[in-house]
Amino acid sequence: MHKIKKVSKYVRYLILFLAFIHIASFALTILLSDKICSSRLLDIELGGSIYSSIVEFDGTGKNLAPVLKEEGFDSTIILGSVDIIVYSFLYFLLFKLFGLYMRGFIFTASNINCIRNMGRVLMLWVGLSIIYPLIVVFIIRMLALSDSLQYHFSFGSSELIRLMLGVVIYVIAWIMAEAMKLNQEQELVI
Amino acid sequence: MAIIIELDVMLAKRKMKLNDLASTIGITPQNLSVLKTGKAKAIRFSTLNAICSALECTPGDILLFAED
Repeated sequence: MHKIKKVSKYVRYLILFLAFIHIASFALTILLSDKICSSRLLDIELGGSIYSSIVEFDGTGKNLAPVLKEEGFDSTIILGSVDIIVYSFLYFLLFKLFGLYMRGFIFTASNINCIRNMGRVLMLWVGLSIIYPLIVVFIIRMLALSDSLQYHFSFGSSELIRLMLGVVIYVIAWIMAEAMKLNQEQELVI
Repeated sequence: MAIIIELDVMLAKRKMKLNDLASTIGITPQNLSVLKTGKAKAIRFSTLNAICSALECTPGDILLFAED
């Protein structure tokens, strides 16, 4: 138990650090977007690779990002902000989960809720990554900001992986909930 | 539940306290309280045997069946 608490404490710091780097590099990307060279590669330690993952869109974003840029929109803010919100949720849930481990709660309802919510967020992300670009184009066209912008729809490997991860994590959480019920029942055997 | 636990009746008949019975049979008073209040899901034969030995009774004196 002491080991779990100790490791969870360090993992919590690591999650916090990664979340800070991730969000800070995204914020820097937006703030310094004019000053960054055309390749859009921010050459900073640690944040560099994370930054690249933010602006290198996959799925629908990969097709839509250059089109948005051509039309004069900032694709990083429009498309990247959704991803950063989802990542923030995931960081928050992981931080909360390891916080529970740190306090000695291993198989409680709160742990299971955290894991289940992570699965939900991942599954929701898939839906969002499909629907969001369509909504963006719809709003732009509705506001008559652009007529040439085409609707983009794609379901790629990244969506498939997120969906698989989401479903697997959700099922694991459900199994953990069932195991907890069995354990509670076992505790009532005198 | 259709099964009624009458442990408190037997304890009163034998003029024994719950804590004394718990220490005699070697289970915690909390667990015995769970059994007494009818919250328990199941009872082990070993526990039943120990209770019956301590209270000098049969399982039928402790466990009763009643229609819902």
